[in-house]
Amino acid sequence: MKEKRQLRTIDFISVFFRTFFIQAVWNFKSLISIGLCFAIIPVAKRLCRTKEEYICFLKRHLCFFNSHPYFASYALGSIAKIEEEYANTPGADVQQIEKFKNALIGPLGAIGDQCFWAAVKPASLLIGFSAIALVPELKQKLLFLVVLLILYNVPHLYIRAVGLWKGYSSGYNIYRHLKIEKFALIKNIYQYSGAVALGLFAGYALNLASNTDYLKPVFFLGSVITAYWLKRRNQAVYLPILIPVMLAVLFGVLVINL
Amino acid sequence: MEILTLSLIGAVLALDTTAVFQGLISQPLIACTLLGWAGNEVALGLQIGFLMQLLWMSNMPVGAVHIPEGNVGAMASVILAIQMKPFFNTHYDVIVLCVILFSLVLSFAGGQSVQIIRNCNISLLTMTLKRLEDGKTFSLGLVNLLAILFYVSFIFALIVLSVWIGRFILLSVINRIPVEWNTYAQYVETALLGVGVGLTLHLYKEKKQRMALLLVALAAFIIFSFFVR
Repeated sequence: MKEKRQLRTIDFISVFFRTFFIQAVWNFKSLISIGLCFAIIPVAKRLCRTKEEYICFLKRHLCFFNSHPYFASYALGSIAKIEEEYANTPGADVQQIEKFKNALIGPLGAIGDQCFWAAVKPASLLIGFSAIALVPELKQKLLFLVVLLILYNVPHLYIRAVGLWKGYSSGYNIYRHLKIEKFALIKNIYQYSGAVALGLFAGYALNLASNTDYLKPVFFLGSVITAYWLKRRNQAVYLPILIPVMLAVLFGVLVINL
Repeated sequence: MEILTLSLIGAVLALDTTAVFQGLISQPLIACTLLGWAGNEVALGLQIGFLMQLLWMSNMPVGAVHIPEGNVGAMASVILAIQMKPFFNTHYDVIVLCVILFSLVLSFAGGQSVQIIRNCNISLLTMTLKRLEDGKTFSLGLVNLLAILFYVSFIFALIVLSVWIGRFILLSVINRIPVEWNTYAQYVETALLGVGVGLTLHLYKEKKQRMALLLVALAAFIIFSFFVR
């Protein structure tokens, strides 16, 4: 009787550290498949007995795949579980693995984008940014840079680690964990914190502008409105920055010469 | 030598944007401060990073969408600003304006560079698949390393060349700019912070979030105006 092939904790630790390179070879053809494959190699080395099995394993996971980089851990954990079951089940259908991976692409990307790119990242940056604006001493400002990194990387590392564990625990049933409602609390906390931090900075900056020059608050508000409107109107990237800056220079010339 | 060293640090930090780790150390606030510290100008680095941070906040790296590399632009601009430090007493606002414009150009160039790098990565994928088809294994760790080295080299070259060119141009013109012209750019920093706020507003689309933002802004303005000096 063949010995049952089973993954060990050391394999998952290795996978965890490899997830930090999941986007190292991002390309327009297979997106993050090389990174995913690189991350799952410890699983392949544990489960594959022959070189042919190993090659088939790699080819299986070099197909098109995309995900939010942190939430890819859920996929990695699930894939590890499914591959372990496949390795111990003679005659299992390997096509199921590819179908499963393709089905994960949408949810992993959507949840990751909503949670991290739209909530955690801007909020962490805005909280650090506003704190840096408010405190006077350089050392205090640098301290808030550290706070900013902690605010962001605690949920970041948590998702990478927990995703692996939950993925491995759930296998095909990982869908139960991939619902935006499950992340609603962290998303809302960070989003509202970010909005408050931005409001705090805006009020402070407007006050600071008012104290130095009677025209500066006008410029500040004008730039806010101009940038917002230009971005909303045509999704421009550079115009919302260039136009207010050029207007600031033009006005500076007019103010001095008049 | 300083430009080379700082550019190399910048290129390594730029890896954090997408390639490796992604823990926010490539963001302007942090990366510019680190570069400033490496160039013995921590306060300057933090200041430039502070001005640039909000400008790119609303651009989200969703899927294959093409966004400017604001991080690369910011890092290059702080290296340039460090080179121009001797002129800060007389031409501070002009230099800030030039550095911002330089950063915008670099962010565009950085974005194009990333597209080139991503297209080149396809050849790594093709090479790996071909070796597997031939029944040979290929170290994906080596593939990753090649991709990372290529990325660092490309971004390093971009930053070094652009800072050299920017420094050459600025040094050529700065002494010809009358000191009085510095006052023309006096509103640029204020405008930049306003632009950053305006762009970042797009991240908060829900009514409740905007109400919270507006109320806090009003409260902060009142508190800082009347109670905090």
